[in-house]
Parts: sequence; structure tokens; C-alpha cells
Amino acid sequence: MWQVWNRERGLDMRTVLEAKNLCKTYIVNKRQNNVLKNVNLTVEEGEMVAVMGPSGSGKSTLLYTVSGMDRMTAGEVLFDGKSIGSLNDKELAELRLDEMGFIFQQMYMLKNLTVLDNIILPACQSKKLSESRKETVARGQELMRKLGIIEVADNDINEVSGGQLQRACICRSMINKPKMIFGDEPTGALNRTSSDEVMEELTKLNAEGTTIMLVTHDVKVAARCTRVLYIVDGNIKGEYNLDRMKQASELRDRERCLNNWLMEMGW
Amino acid sequence: MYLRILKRDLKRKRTMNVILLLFITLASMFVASSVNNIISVTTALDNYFEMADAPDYLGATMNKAETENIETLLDDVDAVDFYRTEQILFMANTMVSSDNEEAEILGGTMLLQGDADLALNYFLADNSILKDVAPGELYMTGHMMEKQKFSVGDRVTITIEGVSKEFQIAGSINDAVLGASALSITRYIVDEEEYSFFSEEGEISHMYGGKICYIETADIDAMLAELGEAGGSFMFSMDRGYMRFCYIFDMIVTGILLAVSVLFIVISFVVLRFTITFTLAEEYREIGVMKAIGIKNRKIRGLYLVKYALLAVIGAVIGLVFSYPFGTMLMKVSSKSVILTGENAYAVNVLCSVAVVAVILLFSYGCTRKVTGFTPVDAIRNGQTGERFRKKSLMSLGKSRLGTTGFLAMNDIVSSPKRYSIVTLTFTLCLCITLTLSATATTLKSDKLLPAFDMVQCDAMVSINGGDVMTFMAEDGRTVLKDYLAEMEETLSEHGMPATCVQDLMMPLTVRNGEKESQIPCFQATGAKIDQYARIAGTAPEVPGEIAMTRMAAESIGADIGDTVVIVSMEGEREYLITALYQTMNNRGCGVRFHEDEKINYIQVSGGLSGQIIFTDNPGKKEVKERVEKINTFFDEYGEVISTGQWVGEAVSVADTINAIKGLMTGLTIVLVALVTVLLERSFIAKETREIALMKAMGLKSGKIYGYHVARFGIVGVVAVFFAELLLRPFLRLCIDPIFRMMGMEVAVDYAINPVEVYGVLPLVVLGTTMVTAFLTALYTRKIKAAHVAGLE
Repeated sequence: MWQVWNRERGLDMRTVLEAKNLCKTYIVNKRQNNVLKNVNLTVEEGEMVAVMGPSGSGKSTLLYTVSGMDRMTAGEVLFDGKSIGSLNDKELAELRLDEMGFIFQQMYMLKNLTVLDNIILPACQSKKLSESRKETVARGQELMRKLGIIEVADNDINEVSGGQLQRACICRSMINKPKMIFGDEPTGALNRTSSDEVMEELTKLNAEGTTIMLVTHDVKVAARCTRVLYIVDGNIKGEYNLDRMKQASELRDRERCLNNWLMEMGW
Repeated sequence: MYLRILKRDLKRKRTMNVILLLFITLASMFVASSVNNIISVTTALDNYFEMADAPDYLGATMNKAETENIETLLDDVDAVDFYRTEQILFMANTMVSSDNEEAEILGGTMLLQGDADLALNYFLADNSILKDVAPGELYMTGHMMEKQKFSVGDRVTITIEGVSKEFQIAGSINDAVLGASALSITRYIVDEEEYSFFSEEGEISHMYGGKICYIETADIDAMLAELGEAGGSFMFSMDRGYMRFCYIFDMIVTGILLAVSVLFIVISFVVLRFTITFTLAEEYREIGVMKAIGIKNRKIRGLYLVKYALLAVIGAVIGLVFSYPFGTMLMKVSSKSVILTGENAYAVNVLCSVAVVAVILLFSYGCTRKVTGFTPVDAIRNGQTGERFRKKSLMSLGKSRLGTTGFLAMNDIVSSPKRYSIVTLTFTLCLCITLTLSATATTLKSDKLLPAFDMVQCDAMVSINGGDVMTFMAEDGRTVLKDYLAEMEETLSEHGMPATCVQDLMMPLTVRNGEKESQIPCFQATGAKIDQYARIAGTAPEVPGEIAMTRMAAESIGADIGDTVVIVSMEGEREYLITALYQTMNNRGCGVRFHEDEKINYIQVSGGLSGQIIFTDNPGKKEVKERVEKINTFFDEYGEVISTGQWVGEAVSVADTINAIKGLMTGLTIVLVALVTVLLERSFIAKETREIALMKAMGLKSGKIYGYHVARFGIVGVVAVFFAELLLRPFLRLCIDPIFRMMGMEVAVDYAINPVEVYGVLPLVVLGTTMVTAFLTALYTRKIKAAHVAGLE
């Protein structure tokens, strides 16, 4: 359905992320632990994909491995057509800086910087947009205004609420106009109100064309996505397409459908 | 249970624990060796004199000037408890030659004596006492042996009035009474029979023979009063105070060692406290968890105290072991003329290490006490209560013109000033003492110090041959000297170097002001006018009958400018008007200067400083240097010519030792700066692991992260260099001025600074060490992966 929706918006469908036979193995206390086992997935441009599954199923590992934050053990990951397994650390860093955005469960920020400075830091490092510091600041402020946190721009990070901080993290992930945003339980540390606010912003971003892939335990969060992947023991057990055409007012229906599907999957 | 927690803690937080252990080891090593050195240094001279059996008073006589046997006179003096004498021969440097072509036989007093009547304990290189000398062998004063580039095994020939004998240098001696660097006296001790070979020649005995009397007395003034004129006829004499004073230059070195030791102790404790606070802050989360599950504060604190006690004991023991070689190394470099003993070394070092353990426990106790006031939640929040009244981030990336790396580094420093001020303080102190040593060593080799020796500004110095100087010590000596200098000037003029030659001669005379009197060295210049000498008050004497006095000499007899004093000489008593005061580092700051036309019997002359050459055609520095070299090719008949800077260096004689200490301190500074940088950077990395991972996750390249970490230490290094340069003058005034004041310098010394070293090499060494070490340590961040941001290992 999202393809239809995208086509209706006049966007060409293009694969942004593709994983082929992805494996990730950790050695813990001399014991091999196969966290991801031949995972295959594709994420198309404009999609908002949720990864769900029980604790320890490999959700976060999948996210970090496909985003190049962690090296895969075997398989191939293509991001925007580029095989990230062949990139060296420097090239991977450049890719993360310019083309990817990250949002974590804990609102990690550099503690010696203000909220605005944390947001614009990646832009100041990137050569992608070749703009002046002043323009970067203006863009950072614009993003903050858009997400309703402009009043805390000059605050220290411990002077703002969790919801505001997570929205600041979204701003940071957006500052370099990335092709894709990865979220590792972005609402996991927030209360319901803040969680809804943050998801509202992410949905808006997605509606504007930003591809998003996020890991979550929360059905309410996953219900806002266009597609849900269910992972168990390092394998994608199933996927569920949600109707993009339905309005937000029908979110409860989406949740109910998703819940039913998850029950079927053994959630 | 606790033991298990402790065991796991030590294993899991290995890096921070190793860092802490290293700091404790360093602190223990520095404190133990430094305190031991301080004790040794402050009691060094008293111990040395006691070991050497030094007398209360020393007087040297020459047979030719002796009107009555000094021993007979001393027998009759009630104030003398007892005395010992040594028979000696006074020699000139022309009487000594060597097969060692590199050896330079320098001027200064040379004494030859046999081993039969050694009245003092002379110490050999292994600190044992010289008992006797084998035939054909010779022992000489250690620092003079080094200064003259002699080595053990060199052959030395002594020739006095045609009587010649060859000796082999068997070793060096430490002479407590006449062996101070400032005195430039060389004592040669040979086998008694071979000494008799010279002394039994009647002419030699009369012309060059003499005695050194070592007198024990409870009342020196009473003894001198009883001795009367005979006391004034001593060729040179000194009391314990003067003996101590002669070691003032050596004491500069030990004083510096003391300052270095205090500095090490300060640095050790400052860094140690910082590390403990820093590592304990890491524990807050766990402390919070323990509090949350109901473990009592006392037990939690006990756990950490046990951990720190364990680390402290291990570190202190390792530090204690290293403190012995470290302390000995410092002592060896700094003590050439004084034997420094560390009788209680073991006990002191052990006590210091115990003190370090106690201080660590005190620090830990203080730091953990903070935790008891927290709720479990506060503790989990790393000790932050949630309230904050001061903004942490003081800079703004948006407004800053710095690059991101520079901004992050600078912002970190201004956001955590306390953390970085510790590093800055450490680096500043280390660099400050190195710069101070550099400036002191440069000054002690600079002609800027010439006026401090009561000399006229000149271009070169000539050590007039000892034999020639002897000819000035006669009734018509003044005329002989004038002719001698005129001849020198003519010789120089013939070689295209028009010059004026100056020679100061000294005679110790009794100066009286009313009831008060004192024996003061009196000087008269030949070849220079008295108004060419520096004064600190009054006007230069204009006619004979007027004198200039040092303030210290004037104060010793209660006189001042405008007062009339009496000077007792061979001609009798004569009144003199004091018209000026001056300062000098010679003779403990005491001196009187006669007008150049004053008529004095030069038979009273007991010595003088080097001759001076003032070129009258104003040549440049380079030309002067070339001339000094050239003069030496045709000046053999007069003596060796050296530059003024070299003369000052030799006169102060410890410039080279201070240079050696500067080298050692520079080395230590490098090691200390590198260690502090490694340990702190490693601590910072451990604390900032998640932030580093976050930066990597955001796409910051490793190079940028290295740059950011190196820049932090670079900025701190630059600030430290800035402060050290700023503090150099106050440091010199604070540490070195008092030493010059003790030597009689009332007006501050004009320090010479080697700009290349002070503004270039030394700061760059510290800065370079800091940045290279920070970079190498920052390479560790390679191990931190972007995925660590979420705790994925």
C-alpha cells in the first residue's frame, strides 16, 4: 500500500536499504552466539518500518548492523546501492554523518553542549550541504521550531524534559537531511504523552518523504508505521503491511489489526 | 560477599584501578624521596661539618709574613679551647703541570700538604676518610679536579723553585672547610716524606710555607681580641658562619633540589586527589544501587575504603621501592662539594609511604562521605542532585568561529574548569621550575653578574699568573703592578687591541667605628677609577681618605655614609670618610674600597680577583670573542684570558651543576607531563566512552575525535606555557632572589634569559610531550565502536 501512496505522491519507488543473508555472531565467554541468521530485508524510499520482537531476538543488532554502526559477520547490506561491508571505518563514518540519522532509546547527547549545539554538531562536521555556520544555526532553529522545542535551544541538556530531549535527538538526526533515519526504541524512555508527541513528529517526517526504520516494543508506535517486521531468534518470522491511506483518527484500528497479527506471530 | 564484590570490581574496572595505582605509586615515590632529600639538604652542612670535624675558626698564615710563631701565640690565648695545625705550602698554578693535555690548571689558591698531620677528615669518593697517601700518589679537591678536567690516573708534576716531583692522581677528596665551590681552593695531599722533599728546602719553606690553624673556641670575638694584631695577620681566616657561607653556591643547588621536592609533593597530592574524586564519581551509580537495596552507608563506605586501602598499600610499596634509586639520583646530580647523608633514609621513606596511604584513605573517606547525603536516586544520577544554578555550557557552537574540533575541546575546558585546572597547574609548575633553572643557569654564566662581584664592566678577564701575583704582594707592589699592567696594555696595543687593564687587590684590615670593629676585606683597583664601580648610595670617593663600603660591612660596625671610620693597617691607624655604599657577592657581602690614589703597603695583600681588560676602541661582541681567542696566542707570559661570561660561570662555579639539574628537571618534566597526560586522558576516555561512541554513531571520524582529545591537552599545554612564562619573573624573585640576597645583593639581580631556551625549546618540549602523549593515548578510542552507544559490546 505504501507504494501506492508514494506513487500517488509522485515519488519514484527506490530501494534505500537491502540486506541479503545478513549474519551477526558474537563470541561471549568463548561461546558463539548467532544473533542474526541469514536475514533478508528491503526498505523502500519513503517507508516507515518497525522492527518488533521479544527481548534478545536481535532487533537492535539488526538495526545497528544494517546502519553500519556495527560490522556484520556475513552477508551483504546495500545502502542506497552501496555495499556498506566494503566501506572502511572512515567511509562508514561519512555515510552515517551525511546519509543517516540516529535516534536512541536513551537521549544521548554531549553533556557539555547546549541543546541547539548538540543538534547542529553533525552539520558543522559535514561538508554535504556546504553552508555557513550561521545558516546551519538557522536550520537547526527551524527544525526545533518545527518540533516545538525552540524555547529550549540554549538550555543545557539536563534542563529539559525527556520528551523535549528526544525531539531534540530527532532534530539532530534530521540536520544533515539524511536519506534514512534509524531509531532504536525512540520512545522507550518516554511517558505516553511524550511518546505520542515524538511519534507524531516522526510520522510527519515520514509523510514528508524521510525513510525511517525503528525498533520498538510498543504496538502504538508500530501502528504508525507502514510496515512491521517481526523478528524471533535472529530470523524475520513475518511482516505486516499497514494501510497508509487510513487517517490518524483510525489509529486504533491499525493497532487492533497489528495486535491481532502479533498475537498470531506469538507476541 | 564484600570480598567477592571487591574482587569483581578490581577486575572489571581494571583500567581506572591501574591508573589510580600508578598515581599512588608516583605519589609514594615522589613524596618518600623528596621528604628524605629535604631532610638531608636542610641538615646537610651541619652534618658535613660534624663529620669532617670542622673547627669553629680557621686562620692561615704564611711563614714570610709571620712575626711571631702562631702556635706560641695560640697557646697563650685563654679563649682557645684547643687547636690543630696543618703545615702547608702555598703554590701558584704555574707550579703544577700535567701529562693530561685536556687538563687546565686554573688559578686560585693551591695548597700542598703531607698526610702526617691531617687535622680534618677528608672524604674520598666512597665517603670513607682519607688516612694516608701512598708514595707517588696524590689526592686533590674533588670539585677543582672536575673543574680542571683531571681524572684519576693522570700524572701531575709539582715544581717549586726548581724542586720537582711527579705524582699520580689517586682520587678526589671532599674538603669540608676549604672545599666549597665558591673558594676555588685546590688542596693537594701527598705522602708526608714526599711533602718533606719540598718543605725541607729552606727557601721554599720561607717563601711558600705556612700553616692552617683549626681553632676550637666558644668565643671567637674574645679569642681575636686576645690574639690582637696576630689575628689580623692571618692570610685568610674564617669562622663557621663564613665556612657555611662559602657553600652558598652549592646551597643554590640544594635549595633548588628542595624546591623541586616540594613541587613534586604538591603535584603528587593534587593529582592524587583529583584521580580519587574522579574514579569515585564513576562509582556513584553502583553506590546508588547498593543504597537502593538497603545496604547501610557505613558498609558501602567500608567497601570503597577497603578497595582504596588495598590499592594504596600496593602502590605505596612499589613507590617506596622506587623512591630509593630516584632520591639517590637527584642527590647525586645536585651534590658535588657537599656530602649529603641520608642516615634515616629507610625510616623516612617508609614513614612517607605510610603517610601517602593515610592521605589516600583520608581523601577516599572525604569523597565517599558526600555519598551518604544522597538518596539512591541522586547517587544513580552520578552524584548530581538535579538542581543546577550555573550553566555548564558556556560557549555556543553557533556563535563560535572555532572549527568543531577546536570548539568541542575549548568548550570542554571552560565547562569543566576544575578538571583541567589540575592539569594546567601541574604543567605550569613543572615548566616554571624548568624555566627558573634555565634563567638561573644563564644568569650565573652571564656578564650581567659582573657588577655583583664588585668589578668594572669589561670585555675580558685575565687570570694573572700566580707567580706574578706574588710579586705584587710586596712593599713596592703597587708600582710593580702598575708597570705590569702598562706592559700588558702595550702588548695588546701592539696587536691592534688598544685596551685598559685593571687589577683589584685585596687585603683584610680591621675597620673600627667607635667601639665596634671588624676585619673587612679592603680593595684597591689599579687601572680603573673608583667612580667606575657600581654604587647603591652616595657619591664615589673623590680623594684619598674617602672610602666606599658595602652596606653589610657598614652595618656590621654601625656606620653609614658620612661617618668617619678608622682602618688599622701596617702603617698604623687612619681615619676615612664613608662617601658611598655598594653591594657585592664577594666575601659574604662585606668590603671596603679605597680611592685609587690611596697609598697602601701591598705587603698586606692576600689576594685579588682576576685582572680585567677593557678594550678602548669599542669592539662588537663578535669581535671581542675573536680577540679573546687571539690574545691567548700571545699572552702566555701574563696568564689565560677568558670571556667575562665564562669568568662569572667559573666564579659562581655551580652554573654547570644547575645546568645538569635543569637537564634532569627537563627530563623529569617530560616524564611527569607524559604520565599525567596518559593517565588523565585514559581516565577521560573511560568516563566519556559513551560520548565517544555517540560521536562515532553521528558520523564523526576517528581523526576528528583524536584531534578533539589532543586539542584539549594542547590548549591546556598552551595555557600552562603562558602562565609559566608569566610567572617566571615572580618565581625568580621568590626563589632565587633570596639566595642572592644572602650573598649580599641588596638590589635585585638583573636576570639573563636565553630566549631560545625559555621562549622556544622548553615550552615546545612540554607542549610537544603533552600533545604527542595525548595523541598516542587518544588512539585508544579506536577500540570504542559506534554501537557502544547503546551498550552493545
